[in-house]
Amino acid sequence: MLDDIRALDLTDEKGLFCGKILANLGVEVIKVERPGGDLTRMLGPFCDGEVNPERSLYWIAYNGGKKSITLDITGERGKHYFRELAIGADIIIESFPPDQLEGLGLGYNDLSKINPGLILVSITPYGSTGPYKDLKASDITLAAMSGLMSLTGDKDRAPLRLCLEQSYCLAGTHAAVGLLYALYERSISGLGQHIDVSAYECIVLANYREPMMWEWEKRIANRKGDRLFRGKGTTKQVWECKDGYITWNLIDNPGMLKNLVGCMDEEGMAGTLKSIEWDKLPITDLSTEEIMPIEERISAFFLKHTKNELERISIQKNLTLSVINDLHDVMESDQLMERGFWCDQGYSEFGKSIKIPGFLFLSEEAPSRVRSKAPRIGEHNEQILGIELGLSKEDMAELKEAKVI
Amino acid sequence: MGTKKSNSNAPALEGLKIADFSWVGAGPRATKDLADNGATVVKIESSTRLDLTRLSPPFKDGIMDPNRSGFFVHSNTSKYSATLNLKHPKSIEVARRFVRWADVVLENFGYGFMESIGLGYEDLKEIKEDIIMVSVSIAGRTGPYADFRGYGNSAAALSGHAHLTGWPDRAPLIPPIAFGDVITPLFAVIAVMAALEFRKRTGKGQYIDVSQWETMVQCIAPAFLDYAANGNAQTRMGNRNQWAAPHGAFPCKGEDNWCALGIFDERQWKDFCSVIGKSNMVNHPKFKTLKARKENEDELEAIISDWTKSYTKEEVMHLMQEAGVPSGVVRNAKEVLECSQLNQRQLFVKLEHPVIGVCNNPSPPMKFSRTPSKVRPAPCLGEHNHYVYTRLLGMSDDEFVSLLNEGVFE
Repeated sequence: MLDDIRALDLTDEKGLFCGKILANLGVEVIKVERPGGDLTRMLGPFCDGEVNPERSLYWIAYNGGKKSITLDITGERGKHYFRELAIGADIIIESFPPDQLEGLGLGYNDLSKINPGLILVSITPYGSTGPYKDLKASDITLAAMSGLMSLTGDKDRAPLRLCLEQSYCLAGTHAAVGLLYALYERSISGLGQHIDVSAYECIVLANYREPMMWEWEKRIANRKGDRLFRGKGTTKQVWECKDGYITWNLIDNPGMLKNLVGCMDEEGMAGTLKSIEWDKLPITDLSTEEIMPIEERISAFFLKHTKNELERISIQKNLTLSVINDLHDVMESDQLMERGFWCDQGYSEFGKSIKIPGFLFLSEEAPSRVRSKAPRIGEHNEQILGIELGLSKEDMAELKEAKVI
Repeated sequence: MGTKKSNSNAPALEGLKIADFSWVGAGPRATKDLADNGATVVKIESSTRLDLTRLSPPFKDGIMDPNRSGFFVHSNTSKYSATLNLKHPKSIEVARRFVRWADVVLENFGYGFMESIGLGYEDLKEIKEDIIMVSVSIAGRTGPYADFRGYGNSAAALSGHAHLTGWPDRAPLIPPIAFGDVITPLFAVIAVMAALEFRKRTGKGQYIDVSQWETMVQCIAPAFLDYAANGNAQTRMGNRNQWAAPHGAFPCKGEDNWCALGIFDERQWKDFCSVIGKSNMVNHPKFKTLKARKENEDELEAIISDWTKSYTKEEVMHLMQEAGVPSGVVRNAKEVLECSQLNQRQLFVKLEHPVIGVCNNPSPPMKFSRTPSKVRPAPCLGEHNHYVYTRLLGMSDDEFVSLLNEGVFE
């Protein structure tokens, strides 16, 4: 959809997702790696467990559809070529510590002088300004500071972060949103701008309920396993079944609850639940102590069935339960397959093809599917530095020798 | 498309028009972001079928009322509210006028609802050929789960997030937030902006189907590649990280106080050991390399906990930061709201709401140097009916009053 827009991607793990999203939309995203390759290429998992910068599955996951050049932008010669590239770019995505690009003379103010239409987004842990801007962070420390960890996990153990690196995914996604807004506006004003994205702020906003509950009700919530606040009491979210887990909640939906008790009754498992008149028993008025005996009976019913059986019953009787898929379940799911979500990419260098998540969303008119494999280190040096910037083979060899590329 | 004048400091999306039929979580958060950045977003809602967030706590003074919900305020800033009873026979003509007015229609109703009231994409296209329509749902609008009905946890369960969250010896865990309602609205916004660019280039509109399940899979892509390439089906591992050690939250002085740490390279490991006064650990065969630390992680964590327990969480963070080691205290909501970083950068902005009074409102976490976002208070139910119907849709006052009297705007 955005063919002929060009982005230079200088990011590490905090920002790789941003360029990946843009590449799916058709933007020509050029990953500018330091000579020898990005440090993020050393993040695992690795294909066949072999630690090698060309085999990082982490890197492949977040760089599909991009091109790659190598360039040392800290030295004068590298800076020169980078400036030339910046003149022809629409977007620069970077995630250096605050002020680092400015220190190199490549900050927004420097580059906008040579390309007034340039849009530059900076993705940093805490933002480019403010008292925390120089703090050292990783995904888990941002999750801790955001308040989300204090809500997640069991009382008898440490607070937990969300799975993998959601503060970085959020930051990369917000950065992509910001860039698209700025492009939209540029098509009217003709001007670029700088966008400052803080991963911390992104994950604070993901903790969308609790800061408000403190402000409005002076209530501090703590982690309590899988129990969710619902009116006066809490309800259980995760249930064991015969071969795995499902999620379901005891909510105020009398019709659904009648259906569930009906199913249980058919198997002689409803017991005292049969006599409950659900429309006269608002769940939100019950205490956790009153809720738990009801949940105990339901738990016995779930435990007797497999996740697929329960899903089938749920669809027939509208019980609104969901299977907790493991990774195999997700990859084999009819839903994602039928929608053509997975994209099979042949990696002959690994002797296999790898299925990767394909599109951002479905549209007949304008596909948002990943377009090519993740590039090898400097795979497009020849095309971009050679042909476009006009460097001869001798120049390139000499620059390589001098570790500029 | 836009009416924006160049060089002004107006938000980026000024002039963009959104007819927002969405409700609850995933839709309204998308249109909130667009509205905070200057788009004219009309939230089309009804007192006969209230957006459930208007009935979600907390309420101002504890009084349950559609105009008093803090939860609603937080996901609907900067929008206009117009009420329209979509069950009223005369409503469809009004809804069609919204489509003619809008660049984008966004909805997240149940499967088939928009079609059933004559507002499916095919209908919309007849009204306005280049309309952009975006649907947000749990599993997408095609495939065997097209009519899947779920709620907050469903996408976490279906996508693998729940399976990957929690302790290895315990059940999967779903955090008490609907992450799908956080990340998917951003993908819906990306879809809107990309479709606008596509329309500018081709003159064509389009229908876009955004699935919470799929967007959440995108956010854990490396785990799926590990499975696809290596057959390794990852599972939950508490706070541990295959590629960093130590990596977790460690207990500090006092009750239930914790500080999170993550050591990703050998330099950080050396600095970390010197902070905890155990430089002899740096080259100890049990801990020297990441591989060794992973193999002896229980012991490593016990040593660290012994040290962290003698300091407050702030002291641990401070000592680590001084040595350049990534660290952050586990904070509660009160501490977050009092954070000097957030306050200086104004992530939450205080605004006066007509019923609620002054309260904090979340603003977009992107700071634009030239076109800053501008957050306005969330609307009361039907607050902008007259403005929207007469000024935006161009109804005469007579027509407005007559439809009002017939109950079309309930």
